[in-house]
Formats: sequence, structure tokens, C-alpha cells
Amino acid sequence: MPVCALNNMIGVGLFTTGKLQEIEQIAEEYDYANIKAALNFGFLTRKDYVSFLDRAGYPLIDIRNEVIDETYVEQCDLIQLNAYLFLPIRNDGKGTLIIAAADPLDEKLKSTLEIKFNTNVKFVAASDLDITWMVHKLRGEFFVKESVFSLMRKDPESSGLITFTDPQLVFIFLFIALSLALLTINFVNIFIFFNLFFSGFFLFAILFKLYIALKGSRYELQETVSKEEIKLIENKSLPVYTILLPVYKEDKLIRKLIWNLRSLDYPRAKLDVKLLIEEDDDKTLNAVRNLDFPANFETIVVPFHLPKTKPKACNYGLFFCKGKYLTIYDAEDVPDSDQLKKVVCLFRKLPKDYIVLQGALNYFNKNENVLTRMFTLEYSYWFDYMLPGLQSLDVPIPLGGTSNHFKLDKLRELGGWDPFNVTEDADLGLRVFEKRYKVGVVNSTTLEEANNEPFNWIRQRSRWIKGYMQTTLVHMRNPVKLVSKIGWKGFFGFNFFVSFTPITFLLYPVLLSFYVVYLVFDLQSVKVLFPDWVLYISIFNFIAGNTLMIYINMLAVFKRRYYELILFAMLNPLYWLMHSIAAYKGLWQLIYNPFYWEKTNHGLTKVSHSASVAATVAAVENANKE
Amino acid sequence: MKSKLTLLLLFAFSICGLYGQEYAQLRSLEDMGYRNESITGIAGALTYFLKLQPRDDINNSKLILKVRPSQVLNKNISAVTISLRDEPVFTQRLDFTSLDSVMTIQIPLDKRFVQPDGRFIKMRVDAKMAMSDEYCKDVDNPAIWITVRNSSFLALKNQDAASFNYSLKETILEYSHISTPKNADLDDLLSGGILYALIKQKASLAEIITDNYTESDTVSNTIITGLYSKLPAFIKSQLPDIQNGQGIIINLQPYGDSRHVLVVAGKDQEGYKKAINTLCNYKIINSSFSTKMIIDNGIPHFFNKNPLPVVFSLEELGGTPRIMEGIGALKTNYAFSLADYNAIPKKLTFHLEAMLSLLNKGDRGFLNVYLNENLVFSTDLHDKTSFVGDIDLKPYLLTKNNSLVVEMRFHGAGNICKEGFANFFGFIDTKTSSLIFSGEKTNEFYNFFNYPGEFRKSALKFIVSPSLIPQLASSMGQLITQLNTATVVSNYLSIPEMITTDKASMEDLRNYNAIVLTHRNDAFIKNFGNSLPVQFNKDFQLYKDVSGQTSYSINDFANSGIAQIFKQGQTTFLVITSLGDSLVSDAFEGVIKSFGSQYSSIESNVCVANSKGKSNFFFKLPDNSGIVTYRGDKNNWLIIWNNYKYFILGGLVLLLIASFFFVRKRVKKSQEII
Repeated sequence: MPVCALNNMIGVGLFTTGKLQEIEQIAEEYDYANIKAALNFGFLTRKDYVSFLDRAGYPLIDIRNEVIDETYVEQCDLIQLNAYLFLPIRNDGKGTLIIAAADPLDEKLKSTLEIKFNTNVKFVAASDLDITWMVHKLRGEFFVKESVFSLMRKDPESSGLITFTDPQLVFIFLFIALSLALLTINFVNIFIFFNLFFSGFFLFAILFKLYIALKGSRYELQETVSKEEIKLIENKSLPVYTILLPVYKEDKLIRKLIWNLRSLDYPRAKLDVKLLIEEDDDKTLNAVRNLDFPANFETIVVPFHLPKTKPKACNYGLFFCKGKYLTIYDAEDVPDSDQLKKVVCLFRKLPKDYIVLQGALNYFNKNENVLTRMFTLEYSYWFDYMLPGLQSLDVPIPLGGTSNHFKLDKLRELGGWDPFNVTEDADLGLRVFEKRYKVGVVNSTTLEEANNEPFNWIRQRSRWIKGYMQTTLVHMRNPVKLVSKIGWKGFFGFNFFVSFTPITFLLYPVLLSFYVVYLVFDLQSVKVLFPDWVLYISIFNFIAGNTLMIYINMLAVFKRRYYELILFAMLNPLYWLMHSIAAYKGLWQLIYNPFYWEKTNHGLTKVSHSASVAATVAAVENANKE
Repeated sequence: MKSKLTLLLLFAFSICGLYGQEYAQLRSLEDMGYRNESITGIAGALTYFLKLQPRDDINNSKLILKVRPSQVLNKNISAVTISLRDEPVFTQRLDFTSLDSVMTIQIPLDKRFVQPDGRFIKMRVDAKMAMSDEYCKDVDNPAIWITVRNSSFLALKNQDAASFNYSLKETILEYSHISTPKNADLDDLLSGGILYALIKQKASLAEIITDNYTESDTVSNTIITGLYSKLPAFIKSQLPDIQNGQGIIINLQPYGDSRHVLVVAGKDQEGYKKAINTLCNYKIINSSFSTKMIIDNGIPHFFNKNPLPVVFSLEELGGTPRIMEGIGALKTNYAFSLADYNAIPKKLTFHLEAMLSLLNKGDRGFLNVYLNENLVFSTDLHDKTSFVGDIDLKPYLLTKNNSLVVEMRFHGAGNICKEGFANFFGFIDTKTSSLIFSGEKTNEFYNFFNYPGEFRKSALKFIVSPSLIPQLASSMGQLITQLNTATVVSNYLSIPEMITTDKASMEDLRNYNAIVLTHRNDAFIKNFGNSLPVQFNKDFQLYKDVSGQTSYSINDFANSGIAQIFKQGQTTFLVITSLGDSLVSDAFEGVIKSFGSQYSSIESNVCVANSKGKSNFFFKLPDNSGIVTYRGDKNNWLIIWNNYKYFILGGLVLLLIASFFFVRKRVKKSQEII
């Protein structure tokens, strides 16, 4: 048995031989150093590890402040550096290469490196996190550039680097100019035409949504995977499952994250969890460092490169993934404990062309304030009714930001996420469809933290709406080609759910203000724009549209028995106004700063999610039983 | 052609020469309220009551009848017979060969033809017509008819005034000129209006002239009304002494010749009011035969919750007892107006009592009732000698002015001709037959259909702009006439309470309806706010289409009058004004005549009229209809927009181009990430 720090730890009572064997098995399967397996699979706390090294005469050096001779580093592969947690520092001038290693007692590694560098090697101890940080910083350039430009190189038409193409800009501005010219020539009639067109469109959109929601409601009680099926799964047969956790300055959530991961019903050794931290995010890194219990994730440091977006971080993480399947969670997410097993089971049941499964998202702090209630209504309606409805129609499904489970090889085949797109998930949903793969829906819920603060909400929503605009612009560069790829039904579905969403929100306050001005102030000059027949149609649309939208939102509460939210559906018109504010912000950013990632602050909730989770899970289970 | 024209001119001149010079006045059947009446079938009769005036010299007057027969009649066996006071006076074959196929029949009149009351001549026109020699063939042939034209007239000579005893009302009817003071007040206006309304009862088409006098004027052949102190000096000097609180009505001959002046005055306001009130009392003015009346008491009869008449006998509707004889269709037309009502009645029942000749075996007889030319009832008359029954008339068939026709249709058995035929006859009892009204439908939208009934059903105020008072006597007269037109004749002329706009307030109008005669800029109008269908204190346009083009505009008619009817609070308002500032009197009179004679049932609430009502327009302008736009409504922004919209478009396009390059630059810059 090769000697490493862990062997010595047995001697001081930190380990048992049994555990060490377990660790070695993991290390072997993942091609990791033992110490990495021990630290990242929940066997060893970093504090114990550091104090042990200290006692063993290996005080940690601050490798981030050492002078590094990069000629040695350049001889190493990042995958290896990351897996075995070492970093060549420099030659000490006496023919010995000083290498910082997370496990300075790892003799096997030492002898391997001596052969590699053909020189004597001296190990100094350094924190595994610092080594990770340094190796990614020094050797991650290729990978990060790949993360950013790979899609652009492989499939430039699907890359969002170019926000507006010149023909698109010309088309948009010509359309505006033409509209202005027509309005100048015959303001009243053209205004009435636009008014009727858009209000008719609104009504149609809402009726269509109602239709899909009603269609989706047929699947309300359908379980794609039952508990019995999960029980029948043997743990041994389960594949390695990668979980990507892209975080940025989420130091407060790290503890929660570990507990959430621990509650997952999946063999520990088969969970390849990657915490993706940005290079400049010391806060989160230190939070991981200071944990006083074993971490069950591997930290990957994403080197700095613009755009600083979540999809870029995920793409980067992809290089280090070991799983057969992959999913993404946000730091605050609380997935159903059996979600991964359900996914594995469902993938096994579904035809091979299903390469993504979307789990439902909902909120654990739904009752915190009006905003969280509205958010919950919206998500309940979207994930519980719309997605199943859309799936049954076989049109592109805009994926949710998290809890989407991929077949990793297919994800790589697709080129990962578009790093320039701030709703990379929606974009990927369409690309999946374009390649004639399919997206399924899994009956498992991930509870998230609903945004409870209006400005934070608008920031988040402006990013989403901006992303929808980006996705539209990317895929509508050549509409004819898009139709040939995804068919008329897909084309319609895509435009309806992605393209028209921002347009709707941009127009909503304009139309609303016209109605309000007309109805409240009864201005004669506005009256000419609303002849009786237009007024009747508009009022019908206005009332029917809003009523239906409220009704759809009311419908949303039924599956999860959130009856206390039902009256809040009445506030939907106001909620839409907030969307409109976000839409205008998003439009401005699309022009001014298209790839800027409006970060959503998490951890603002005062609700203890564990209690809420328990209540919610109980409610869902009861509902499912019924 | 030329000879025909010459003949026509000669005829015209001869007629004018005959009647225009020799006779003082011509009074047509139309003036007396008759329409063209026809007799259809092989025999029939029409009866007329020709109204006479006190000064008519019957012995020297003539009746000129214009009869137009069907051109297919056999003139050898078709004849018309005229009877006066049931005495046949003239018979002539029906000859259609005259000019324009109208027969002119001249009948010299005689006093013995006048009815005992001295006010009417009863004229009956009997016609017996045939087309062929076979009597039976002509029965029910629609080509057999004659029409008595309402252009038929009495050519009257005036008798010496002294030879006739005039009642005060008849004295008033002799005049066609009314003078009110230059500085008239509300009493003068009311007095002028009442006198106008009385003269209008003469049913003459001659125009009634109103003007203003000053103290220095000399007037003749006019009715002069005013406070004693306002009267012209030469009139004052001829008046007997009257005391304060006394009024006077006196017919003067101020120049000692045939010229007359009727003075209606009062020593003071109180006395003057008494004189005015006396004018409204028919009992007094019909029964006073003196040329002078000093008035100590006079009680006004205001419009005040007049109970709606519920039952009208056909006699009250103007029907006369009449035997209809003949075979075929024997018809009688009863016209009735809904002027008494402010809305269509909920239910209308026609109670008919008629008697008829017994039908022989094989004869057929039917009783038909038509309302506005719609058959509403039909029954078989076989084995009957009388008919008594209630017939429901459908309210939706009613209009403001209606005709109710009772028809008895008799057809003899096949061999009746051979055996010698005796006419069937029928008789409608106009005293016991009646129309019974029940309730009124609720008004949702106030319009001229509600006029004048709406203004009779509760207390009524006239609100007048002070500056207009001297000019509105004729308008006042028209309104009083219209408001007093009721099916059942009253003993009184009802009058409104009067107030000027500067003293009126909306508070005082509680429990009143109001007719407002106002200047377009009178501040009182502001009280109506948006209730007014058309805000006429601003220039306005109607039916402005959505593209901003004016398809119809009436804001340019300087001397047009406008009337609008609407409800505000509990009060129904009729607001009348002139749109311009010239010919104000004509503008008011024109519009009042227009809405007062609107026969259609179109629900209009705005009437605009000019040229003394010869040209008029009715509009239905419900609240917020958006049909009316005001010139001042165009705000500055709109004016700027209309003038500079293409410049603005140019600016916007430039801005768009700049935006295009800006966005393009930003897009390129964002790609510099590479």
C-alpha cells in the first residue's frame, strides 16, 4: 500500500483502514489523489487535515504568494494538476524541484514527479484549495478559452457573441421607421391597427397559454417515475452523477449546500460534485476552507475571462466532469432527495433521443411576502402545467436555470452552454431541439429561494428577459433555416414562448397606460383612438386577458395545494408591470452591456428553509398520495 | 306648347284677378286643417265643417271647390253633388277634361247655409261614380274615385266691423301684428307670447309680425302690450283712467278712422299681470263682447302637473257623427297626436261602437281597423247590426301623430245588381267610441318625442336671457301654442312661470321642468356642464370621422337656432339658443317651429335650424357619443402635430439613424471581448 498522509492519519486516529480503502477506491475510479478523494467526498475536514500536516512537520505555505517558475508548470497537464493537487514552484538552485502538494507525504506522487521532471523533488505542503486556485489560474487559460469560444468555433450560428447582426439591426430600425411613417400619415387608423393587433395578440397568447396549461394539467397526477421503481434500483448499478454548482460570492450558503447535498439519496462515491468558483471569489473559497465538517464537493476555480457568466463557468467545469449524467443546482437549491435516482431511472426508461430532463422548480420561502408568493405562483404554473403541456406538444422547451439533467456525452456533443447568453438554459433547450433530441420532464421538485426583494427581483428578471432577447436574436438570424430545422410547430412554439415574451412585457405598460388614460380621464383626444368598436374589443381583451391570466395563475396552485396563494393571483397585472420594468432594463443592457450577468443575491430570505422544506415535502407527498 | 302656356297664364291671371282683388281673404281647407280627402267606390260622401270668422261677409263670399276625378269615369253617369247645411246646392257631371284634370266648382254662399252657432258651414260632397254601364262591374274597381283637394277655399269678403258683434278673442284674431316695448321685460314677453298664441289659433297662414315700440312711436292695426308707463304717449292719452292694481284690455280707434289698436296694459305690474292672465282665460275672452275691459282680478293658469288624459272620445279627436253609405270600403279617418304624452303609452285600447245595416244572406261585411296604415283588427259583420268591442292597439305602431282608420267593407251577394241595389250603411258613434291610454313607457333617452308632453306634466319655468327678451315674443308665442296643443280642448291657455337667467339658479328648478331661451354666451349655460349634448358656447362640428376630416360641420351658420332636450337631475330641460348673433328672433322661431312640427318618431335630442325653420337638421347625440367635436378642443400639441408632423417624422428618422449607428457601435464593441 503506497504511503500517503492518510496512512499516517490512521495512526493518530483520524481514519480507519476501512475508510481509507473506500477513499482509495474512489481515488482510483476518479483518477484522483487519495487526499483529494478524502477531502472532496466527505471523509476528512480541512481543519483536521491542516492540523495534521502541521503536526507532521508540514506547515502550509501560502502558495499564492510564492514565486512560481512557470516553465515547470507548463510541463504539466491541468487535469493531472487538479486531480493530484500538486504545483511545481521552482528549482531551489541545488537541483531540487520544490513542488507544493496537498499531500506532501504522497510517495507515489513524489516518485512519479521525479520521473516526470527527471530531478529530485521536494514536497512542501499547501492547501488543496490554494493549489487548485493556482493550477487553474496558471494552466486554465486553454480550458477557459475553450469554454468561451468553443461553441463559437464549432457552431458560430448558435453563438450569442454577436448580439444583433447587421441585417437584424436594419430590419428592426426599418420596421420602426416604417411604423413611424405610417403613424405620421394616418395616426388614428394605424394606431387602431397596432392597438387591435397587439391586444388581439395578447388575448391569443393568453388563450394559448391556457390551452397548454389545461393540456399540462392532464399530467398533473402522472408520475413518470414511481417510488417503487426507485426502490428497485440497486446502488451498484448507478452511474457517476456530476452536479455542477456554479457560485459566485455565495459564502453564506456553503454550509446549507453541504447539508442539501448530503440529503441526496445517491451513493456518496458516485456523486461527482463540482463547486465552480470564480478566480476572484475568495469569499466563497475561504468559506470552503473554513468549514469545520467534511466537504462533499470538489472545488474548481474558473480563471478570469470575460464574459463572467454562469454558462462559461459550467463549460469550464465540463472539462473536469466524471459522470455519465450531469445536473446543475444553484447554491441554495434543495432538490428532492430522490431526484437523481428518478432521473437515472427515467433516462433508462425513455428513448435514447431524450438527452435532457427538466425537474420542477419551486420555492421554500413562498409565504415570505407578496413577491415570493407571486413568484411561486408563476413557477408552479410554469413547471407544473406549462412544461408538461409543452412536452406533449413537442415544441422546444426553454429549460429552467437549474435542475436540468443532461446526458454528459450529449451535452459535450452540443458544445455545452453558450457563454454569451445570459439565459443559456433557454438557448440550450432550443439547440437540443434543433439537433432533434428531446427534452423530458421529471416529476421531481427542487426548492429554491424565491427572490423576496423587489430590486433584486428586477435584477434577476432583467437578466432572464435579456437572455430571451439574446436567444431570439441568435436563432432568428435566419428564420427560414430555423423553420427547416425545427419545423413550423417548433418555430411557432419558440417564438411564442421565447421571442414574444420580452415583446409582450415591453408593450404591456404602453397598452395598459392607454387604457388607463382613456378609462380614468376620459380624454376626448384619446377617444378618437378608441372608436366604440375598438373600445369594446380592447376592453374585452383587457378584461378577458387579465382574467384568464389570473385564472391560469389560480390554476397553478392546485397541484401543490397552495390554496393560500389563490387570491394573490389577482395581483398578476401588477406583477406583469414589474416584468415590464425588468424588460426595459434588459433591453437597455442588451444594447449597452449584453453579456453582463446581473447577479441575483441569494440568502436574503429570513425563512428557515429546513422547516419550510419539511412542510413543503410533506404537502407534496400528501398531494401525490391523494 | 306656346298656346298652352299662354292659356295657363291667362287662367292664372284671371284667378288672381277674380279672387285677389275682389275678395279680402282666401281661406283654404288646408288652413282649416283638412287634408286631401278621397271617395273611392261607386258612391260615397265627405263632410266638412268650414270655419268662419266674425268679419266674414257670407252673402258676398264664394266657396271654390277643387275636385279631381279619376280620368276613367264615365262622365255621363258620374256626378258630384254639393250640399250645404244638408241642402243640395250644386250637382255636376264629373268631367276630367279640364286643365290638369281638376274641376273647379264655384258656389256662391248665403247666410242660410251657416250653422246656427254662426261659426261654421257644413258642407257635404256626395259622389256617385261609374265607369261602365254595368253597375256590378264597377263595384270595388279601384279606378273609381274622386279627390277633394285641400287647396279648395273660401273666397271671403269682409263685412263692416260695426255690423258684427266681436268677442274679445275674435277681436284679437283680427290682428296679425303684436308690438311689445323696446325695453320689454318678462311680462311683456309673456303677454306678447300669449297674444301670438291666440292669433295663431286663427289657423291662417298669414305671418304674425312682432316688433318693438318706443314711447314716441305712433302705431296702428296692432296689438300693443306693455305697462302703462311704457306705452306710447298718444295711446296713453286715449286710455280711460285706471287705478294701481288694475289691468286693461281695450280696442281703440286712435285716429278716428278704421285703424285699430288693441291695448293690453296695466297701471302697474300687478295690474298688467292681471290683464295678461285674463288673456289666458278663454271663458272670459270668448264671452266678452265689449271693446273695453278693466280687470280687477286675473288668475294665472300655470302648467302644473296636468293629469294626463286617459280616455279620448273620437269626438274629442275631431270626429263627427257620420253615416257612411255605399258598397265596398267605407272609411273614416281619425287623427290623434301623442303630444299630450311624453312617451309612448304602455297600452292603448280602442273602444269602438258602431251600427250597420243588416246584411242579407250572401252579403259579406267586414269591420277593419288600421293604425298608421297597419291592419290591427278585422272582424266579420255577418248577422250583426252593431259592433261594440275593445281593440288593443300595439304601442310600437304609434308615432307622434297617428291615423286611426275604421273601415267597413261591404260586398253584396252575386245577384244584388240584378235585383236593384240599396246601399249598405254604417255609423260610428263618435261620442261613445274612445281611445283609452294606460301608463307610459319609461324614458331612457330624452328626445323631441317627449316634447311637449314632458313639459306639461309638471310645473314649468321659462328661463330667458335678459338681453333677448324684446326679440322673443314670436318664439314665446310658438312655444305657448305648442305646449297648449292638447287633444282635449281646455278652458285656459296654460302659461309657464318666467324668470331671467341672471336670477335663476338650479336650486330653484327642483320640481320644475324648464325651457331655457338663452344667449349662447349666457353664463347660465355653465350650469349644464356635460349634460348638454352640444356645448354650443364653443364652435362645434358634428360627425367628425376618425381620420380627422370633417365630414359635416354646422358651426358656420350665423343665424341658426339650436334646441337641445335633455335631463339633468330631476329636471328636463329644453335649451334653445341662436348660434349666431344676427337675426336672433328668426333663429329662435325657426328652431322652435322645427322641433315643434317634427312628425317622425326619430329619437333626436338636438335640432339645428335656419332660414326660419325651412332648413332643419335633427341629431341623435347620446352622451359620450363622440360625434360632437369642438373647435377649441384641438390643443396646441395637435396643431403643432398637424403643421409639423413631417418635420417631426424627419427628426425621428434622423434620431433612428443615429440610434442605429449607436446600437451597431455598441454591438461591435461588445464583441471586442475576443
